This record gives sequence, C-alpha cells and structure tokens, in this order.
Amino acid sequence: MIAAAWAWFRRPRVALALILLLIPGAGIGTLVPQVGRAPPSELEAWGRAHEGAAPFVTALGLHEVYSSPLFLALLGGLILSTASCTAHHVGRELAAGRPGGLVPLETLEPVDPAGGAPLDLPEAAALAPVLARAGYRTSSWPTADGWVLSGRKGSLGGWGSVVFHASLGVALAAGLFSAATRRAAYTEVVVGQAFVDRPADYLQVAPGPLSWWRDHTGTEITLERLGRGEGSLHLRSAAGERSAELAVNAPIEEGPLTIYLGDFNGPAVLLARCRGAERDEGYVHLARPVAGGGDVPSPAFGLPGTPFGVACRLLPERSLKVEVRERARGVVAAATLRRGEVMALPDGSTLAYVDLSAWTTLEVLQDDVAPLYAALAGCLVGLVVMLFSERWQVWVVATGSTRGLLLGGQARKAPAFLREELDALRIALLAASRPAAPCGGAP
Amino acid sequence: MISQAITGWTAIALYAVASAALIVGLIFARDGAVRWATGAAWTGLAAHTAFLALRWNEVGHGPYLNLYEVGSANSWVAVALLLGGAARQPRLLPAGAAVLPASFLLFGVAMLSSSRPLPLLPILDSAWLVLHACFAKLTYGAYLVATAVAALYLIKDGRPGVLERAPALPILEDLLHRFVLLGFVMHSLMIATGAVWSQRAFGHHWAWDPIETWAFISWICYGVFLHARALHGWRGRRLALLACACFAAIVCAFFGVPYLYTTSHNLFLR
Repeated sequence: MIAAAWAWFRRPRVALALILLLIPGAGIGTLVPQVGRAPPSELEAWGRAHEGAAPFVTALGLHEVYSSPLFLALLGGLILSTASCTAHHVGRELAAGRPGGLVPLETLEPVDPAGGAPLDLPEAAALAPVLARAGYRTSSWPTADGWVLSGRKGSLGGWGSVVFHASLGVALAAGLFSAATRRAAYTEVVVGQAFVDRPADYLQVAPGPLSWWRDHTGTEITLERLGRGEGSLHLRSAAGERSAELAVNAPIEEGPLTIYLGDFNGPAVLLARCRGAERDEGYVHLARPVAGGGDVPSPAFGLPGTPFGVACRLLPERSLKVEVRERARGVVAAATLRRGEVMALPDGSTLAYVDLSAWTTLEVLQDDVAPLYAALAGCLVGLVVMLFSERWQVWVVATGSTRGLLLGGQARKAPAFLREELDALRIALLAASRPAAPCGGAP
Repeated sequence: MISQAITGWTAIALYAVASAALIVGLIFARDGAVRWATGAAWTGLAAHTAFLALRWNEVGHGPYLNLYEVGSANSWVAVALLLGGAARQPRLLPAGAAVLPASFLLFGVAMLSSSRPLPLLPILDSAWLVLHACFAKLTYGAYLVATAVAALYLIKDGRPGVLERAPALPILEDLLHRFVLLGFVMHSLMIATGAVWSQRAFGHHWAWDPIETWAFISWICYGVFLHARALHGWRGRRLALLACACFAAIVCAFFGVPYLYTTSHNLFLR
C-alpha cells in the first residue's frame, strides 16, 4: 500500500496535477488580500468594496490561502513527489554504477570483429587495454553466457539531477517548516511620541521604553532612538545586557532572535472624529514608500461606527486633502485641511486633522533559515551540474557468446560527437581483434 | 536629460529600422537587408548603452528602480544577448525578427513612463538587490530570445516557404532549448537571491507577494518545459508552443500583476 502510494507520487502526471492545482491556489492568493501580507486597513477596505463576496471569502479562509490546509497539502504533495522522483533517480544512479546495471544490451550496436565468428575469451580479454587507452573504465563479470568485458566512458550527469531535485525537496520542506515554526513580532512604530522633525525627512523618537517579546523569549528590547533607516536598541536577556545599532539591511542577531529595521516608512496623519463628547483618534498611513513623497493616496480607511471611509492625500505644503466616501454614494464630503482644522461629516460628526507623524517598522523574528539557504545552494549546484555538464556515455560490451562485441551509447547533446566516438572505437577494436599476420608476412 | 532622450529615441528608431530590415531580408531572402539590419541593431545597441550610462550617471545607481529604468535595461539585455549570440552563432540572427520588435516596444513603453529619478532607499542599497535585479534582467532577456526562436520555429514549420533564410528546424529547436536552459538557471538565481535579500531586509524569505508568486509559477512552467523535453520526449511544434505558453506566465508576472495588484515590486515595475 505504502509502496504503491510512493510509486504513485513518482508519476509525472501526479506532479503535473499538483502543479496545476497549485497555480489557481496561488492565483487566489494574488486576487484576495492576505492576512499578514496586507495591512488590516487594506483587508477592511477590500471587504467593504466586495460586500457580496466577502462573507464567502472569509468563510472559505481565502484571506489565508497560503496557510490553508489544502494549499499546505498541495505543497506537501509536491515535496513527496519530488522525494519519490529523487529516490527513484538515486536508485537508477546506483544501479548504473553496478556492472551490467543499466547497459541495455538489446539496444547495443553489434560489431563483427572477426567476420561474424564469435569472440573467444582471450580475444575479448585482449580488448581491455584498448579500452583503457581510449579512456574507458572497464569492468568484467561472469554471466550465464560466459565472461563479459564492459567499458564505460562519459557521464550522463544524473547526479546533478539527483542533487537538484533532492535540494528542491529540502528547500520546500525547509520553507514549510520555517513558515510553521517562525515566530515574529512586528510593530509599526508610529513616531508620534515626542519626535523631532528635521529637514531631510529625519524623524527621531524620544528615548524611552518600547518593550515587547519579553513574555515569549525572555529578551527585553528597548528602543533607545529611531531615525530614518537607523537607530539603536538596548537588549536585556539572561545572557546579559548590551546596546546595538539599528540599520536597514543589517539585522541584529540576539540569540535565536533577529531584529530588523524596516525602511518602507512614510508619513501618517492622526485624525480625530468627534460626535458630541465622543472622540475617536486613529492614524492613517499615507504612503508606503516614498516614491514621490507624500502624494500617494492612502487606501480608504474606515471610520469606526460610521458607513464612511476616508482617503487622504498629503499635499506638498503638508496640508491634507481628505475625501470621505460612502460605498453607495461615492465621495460625500471633501476638504483640504491644515493641521488643527476640522471638517463636517454628513452624519453631523466632525473630522479633525490633529497631527502629522511618521511610521516605520521593527520586526523581531525567530526563524532559522540556514537549512533553507543550504538547500537553495544545493539546488543551484545541482542545476548547473545537471544542465551544463557534458552528458554522454558510450558502452562497449565484449562477451564470449555468439553476440561478439556490442557498442552502444547515448548523449544528451552533440550526437555527431557520439557518432565519431563510436566510429573511432569501432576502428580501434577491429584493429586490436584482427588476427596477427602469419610469420614471414606479405611480400 | 535631453541627451538621454536623444540617445533613447535614437536607439528605439534604430531598433525599429533593424526590425523592418531583418523581416524584409528574411521573407524576401535579401542578404543586403539582413546586413543593414545587423548594422542598425548594433548602432542601436550602442546608443542604448549610452542612454543607460547617462541614466546611471544622473541617478547614481543602476537601472533598477522604476519602469523607465527596468524596461530599458531589460530590453538592452535582450538585444545584447541576441547580437552577442549572433556574433558567435550567425544562425541565431533570424530570431531578431521577434526580439528586436519586442525590445523596441518595451523600450518605447519605458521611455513614455515617468523618468523622475527615485532615490535609492537604504533598504534597496544592497548587493543582494543588485544581484537579484541582474539575474532578473538576464532571465527576461533569455526567455524573450527563446520565445522569439519558438515563434520562428512555428512560422517556419507552419509555412515552409517562408523564412527560408532562417535556420533549419532542428537548429531552431536546439537554440530554443539552450536559451530556456539559460533563462531557467538565471530565473533560479533570481528567486534565490531575492529570497536572501528579502530575509536580510524584511525578515522573511518568502511572503507570497503576487510578483513572487507569479515568478514561482513561471519557474514551475519552465521546469515543466524542461521535464517535457528531457523525460517525455516532447519535440518540435509542441515544444515551441509550450515555450510560448510559458512566456505568457512571464509576461503576466512582469506586466500584468504590478498593474493589477499592490505588490512590493510596484516601485520597480510600474
């Protein structure tokens, strides 16, 4: 049963079916915003924009398609398929190393070195030095028909394929393992705590505690300073205390943890909605990266407790163009506000532009990627060996039976070269097996 | 800026001339037209190189930050691969009948997009990004040439009287396989270097970003191509059609996804 299932996974059609099923799964993940990849505000906006489909999408778990059991099962099936094919290839390669293993005698090309007469054993044995001089690896073994001499030259590069497919399987497995076991803490540091706004868009958080993750790992992380693309941390754990400099593209290693500073930061505005004595405040991120400064519109941001969404555009002089939208009616209110100004909403409440801030991201990660990197390196090595090594092999088999000498070979490319090799070998073997001239020789 | 526009549009015009001359030369079997096409393509490549050098000098970093830079650099790689390959193997030149038009169209689209220089953010200023971008350009270039060869194969196979100057079908098939091989290795390196860069910069090696996902899908498609040829004996017309279908996944990843969805690659591809 297990053997049958193992063999079933080796079938190319099964692999193809798994791939074809994976593609629509990945396509859904492209179409529907995914938890963890898209910010919550984008998920909310998508839900509002697709009110009809949203309940089904949520019920079917399509917001988390990449971690859904079905998608993981497909990836697992691909890993099994790759492993099964690799094991099969390994078996073939090992068999090819054994005498007589993969030489398809029935397909070899017969050569009649002695006018159709079968070789006798001494004649066949005399061919071994000829083969060795031509660079062939020789071996001999007995068969039911008698004694056999075999020569083999060249390589089919099959081990490259084995290394590639095995590494690919390991890479997929390592990726899945990493996704299942990684623990990450992610924070958007809204630089609203006493920051200094400097000319070159440089924002600095006032020193102070910003601690998290302590409950999970025992490491306390305190953000001491944060500027654009740089900063410093204070780390305290059982191993001791130290300060570390933060920089983009230079993660900090602390035991099993890795701490990253993001650089896709940008401006955020603090808005306040007031209705009577009620006051709700919330940040709206204006732009993810920076292309073009602040004139990239934000995604629609829902106002809690109202049917409205708000989209903001930061104008060059740091005033804010605010559009309030309602799904059924489109834009229901719009205004250009300066800091501290207020606009009225259709339901009688007001919206105030309180402050302009900035945000960046800090991520703390516990994820060992060494196996994945090793597997990726293995994939590349195997790929290069598999695709670019010379892959041809010539066999010659001399038997004591009536079959005489047999020549055969195969090549992945340059078949003309293979033909030349076979012709040269045929001439050498015929010359070596030609009967010696009688004493006295020809006149 | 003006010199960039002059060199860029000069290159596009020369590529257009080369395309027309090459197609005429191939269809009407005129050696003179093919020679003119080769000369125009090389001159266009020189102007294109000058354009990229001027751009690099202006912005202070390589051509990988927006469509203006990415599109022009990708088309440069495709033309350079074609002409460099044809210099060694003249039988490759007829593939230019598809590569040159595709390149001048891509370059034209790039030239019409925003040329506003973008700052090189610290998070992008990494050797891994440079490697990732270089392998991406080689990937697209190799696959474009492979698809052009596949198109030539299909035309020549369907209407034997046309394109008599094009190489014989077995040679076209061999070229198709070689360029897919090159593209596949570059594609693998692009994904691997992107994963390492992403891990160092963002803390995750794979995020199922739409572009990542479609790069993976197209990688699988070309893997299927190689398996179909190596293990299942696919040859000829069927293999050429498969190569064209695989390229559709690449086009989708490069042109479709960035315009339809928000991805972390939007900054570079639109």
